[in-house]
Amino acid sequence: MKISRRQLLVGTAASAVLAQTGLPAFAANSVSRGGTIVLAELLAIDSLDPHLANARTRIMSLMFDSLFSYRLKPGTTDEFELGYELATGFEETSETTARMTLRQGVKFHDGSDLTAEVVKWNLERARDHEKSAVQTSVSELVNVTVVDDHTLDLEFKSPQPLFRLTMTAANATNVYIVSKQAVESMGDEAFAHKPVGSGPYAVENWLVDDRVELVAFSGHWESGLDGKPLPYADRFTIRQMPDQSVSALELRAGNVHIMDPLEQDLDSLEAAGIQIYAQPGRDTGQPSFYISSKEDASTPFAHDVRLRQALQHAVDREAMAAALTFGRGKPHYYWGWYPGVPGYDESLPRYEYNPEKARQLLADAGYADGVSLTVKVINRPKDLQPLEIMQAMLGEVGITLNIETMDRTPWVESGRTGNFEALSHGNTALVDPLFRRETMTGSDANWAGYSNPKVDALWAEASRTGDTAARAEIYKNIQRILYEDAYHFIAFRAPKMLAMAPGIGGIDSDYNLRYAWLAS
Amino acid sequence: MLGYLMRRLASAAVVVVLVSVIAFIIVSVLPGDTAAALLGEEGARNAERYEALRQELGLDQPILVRYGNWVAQVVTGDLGRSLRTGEAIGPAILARAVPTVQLAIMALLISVTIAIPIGVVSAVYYRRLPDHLGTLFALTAIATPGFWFGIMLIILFSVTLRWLPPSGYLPFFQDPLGSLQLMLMPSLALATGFTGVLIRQVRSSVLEVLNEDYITTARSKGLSPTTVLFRHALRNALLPVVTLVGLQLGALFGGAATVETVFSIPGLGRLAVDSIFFRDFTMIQALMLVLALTVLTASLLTDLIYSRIDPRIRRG
Repeated sequence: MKISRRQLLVGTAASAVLAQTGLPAFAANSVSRGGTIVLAELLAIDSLDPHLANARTRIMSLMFDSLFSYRLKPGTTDEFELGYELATGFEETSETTARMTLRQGVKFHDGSDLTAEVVKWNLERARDHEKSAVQTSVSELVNVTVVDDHTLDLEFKSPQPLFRLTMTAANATNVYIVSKQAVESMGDEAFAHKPVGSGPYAVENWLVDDRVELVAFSGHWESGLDGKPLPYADRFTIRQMPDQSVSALELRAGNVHIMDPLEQDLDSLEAAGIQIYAQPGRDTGQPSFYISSKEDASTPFAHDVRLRQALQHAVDREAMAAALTFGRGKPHYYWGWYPGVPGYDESLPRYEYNPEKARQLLADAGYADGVSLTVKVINRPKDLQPLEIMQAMLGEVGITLNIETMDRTPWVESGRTGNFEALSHGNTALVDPLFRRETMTGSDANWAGYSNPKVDALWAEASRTGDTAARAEIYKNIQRILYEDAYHFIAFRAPKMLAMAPGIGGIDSDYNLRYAWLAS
Repeated sequence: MLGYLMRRLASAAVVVVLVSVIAFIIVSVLPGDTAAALLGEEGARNAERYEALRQELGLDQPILVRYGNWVAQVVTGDLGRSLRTGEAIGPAILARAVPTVQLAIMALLISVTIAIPIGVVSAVYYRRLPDHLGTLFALTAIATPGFWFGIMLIILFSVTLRWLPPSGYLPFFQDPLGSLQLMLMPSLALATGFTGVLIRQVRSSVLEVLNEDYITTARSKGLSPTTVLFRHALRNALLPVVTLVGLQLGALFGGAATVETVFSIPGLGRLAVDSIFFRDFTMIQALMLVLALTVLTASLLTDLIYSRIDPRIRRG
């Protein structure tokens, strides 16, 4: 077939016209059907098996269903609510047991049926497979009993107030439900390249490091706002694009519809008529780091709280937020807690900017002549720039901040082995603080070796507390202690952005891309 | 001739072995290993999983054992499987080589087409305005980073003028026209540095030849300047250019790494970059081997072609 340049560019020109009409964000109130939605994905995908893939990508929710859903509450713009996806009921039968009922009539892309047996097999595969990347979510699950075709009994080692939240796409280690029949007939390796789920899109083709091509699955169980089965689009293509500036240009040219924009591109994208969407409840804090709390740590910061307090007081968070977020961020004081996260409360004690006090604390600790701290960070402008500004601010009071930059892999290695004085580590709002394990003694995530029995007791209490409001009170107490210990540092927050073509609608969060439509 | 060829092949074999040893050592001393890279922040937190994965990938073996195993496997023609994606490496490299080879060929053609006329004009108008302009052009091209030039091209031709699709890849045999359109900007970006070098090379070798006695003889015979230039000078002047094209192949692969990243082309360069970030040892090893073989083959071919067109080499 011969294609002229003109034909090839028709799509591009059409979106250019749309861009120039300057449609307001989310003007597409009525649902549209058809078309191909293209997502630019930064992350290199190593496998499409949602249980075994190490790259925890949001595209899994296009192909696979979860047991529960986590979506924007209708009529609100920032409140999310827990709902049902493949499960239709969940009843706690005791502190550590629950009965779960499943949706009837759900088919996988290979025609097999969703049954209690299949879900049991999925949960056990996630827990027992030696390469499972989602083990943490089901590690407390002791027994799964099939009651009938669509009913299961679950038994846990300890109370699991967050089990339903854990089993949603909002959680990075969610256990998506895959076709047991497909895994057993294809084997792990073939399944990883062309997996079978029950989600709105089925995998057609995966060209490693280039693109994943998905097509609408006509037998999907869920209906859209227009009453017809999902998905809205005919096809969904994920292009792996390692350069975000180029993705932004592709978005403006109309070849990509959804991408993660760089902060410096936001204004020009907006001016070009692109929708800029701040995902509710997905703030990211920076510069986020923690100081080693190990007993044998060589830095004096590990052992003297006055030094840590001096560091906290020496940073002008408002100035940093203004300088680095292009007006989209705010100063931030609570490491790990963000607006919308249970327990977030701006009346809690916090470290205000006070260089005089910082100098005094340093002098009290015996370091009136200065002291140095080395922080390890991945060599990315987004992570590095805040630290460089902070370096100047700390220098004012007499703290020399040495910044050691490295590749991601050696950085993981340093973190994993606890080989650092301070480690810069991304900090993003999680649906519930219980998913964050950096401050729990003995947790694999606690690279700094932070350990406070009072905090541990509070975490344990929170994990037994089903009521969110009661849990929030416990979280406030945890934050008070973290404030006193002062090992964890944060200076400003900015929302996680999505840049979307003018015709895209239906997206509340990037883990719910399956509900996207494209106006023609 | 046969003796010459044998000597060349023997030295090539030594180079290949050295490359494989050096690659193996470099990859082994890099901080962080495949297991840490694969598991990432979340997974690397679990010490048990990390150890299990190391064992499964064979990373717990001593380096000599790993090298021995690898060599034993490679000599049977099996390059193994990628630690990152589980793909068989041979077919994966072949698939990625297609876009890179297309990119390299197009970049070479563009370079030669631009550089030879400009270089010749520069030499003929030695130290006059056309020469200065040619030199300015060449130096600008050499000093321009390919990835930056690539993004500028995208802004001009895709965003402002909307003449070309910004990035991506289509196989040539599936859609030749679309493929050429997609590859045009990446090839230009890849060609910049080489074009500059080539202009300088053409200019200086034409200049050199124009000062030779036989050119003076040709002129004194009363031949027209055009005939002297095209029949007598250019043929000899372009000999060093052949060498340069052959030798630049390695540099082109290097440039392909950044250009393929900017233009989202699933080629060898990007495969190398991704593999290094993920510490995909098996893939890096295989890539180094394949690239070394390619560059060696290219330089051998260049020498052979050279000796065909320049009899002095054959005699020497």
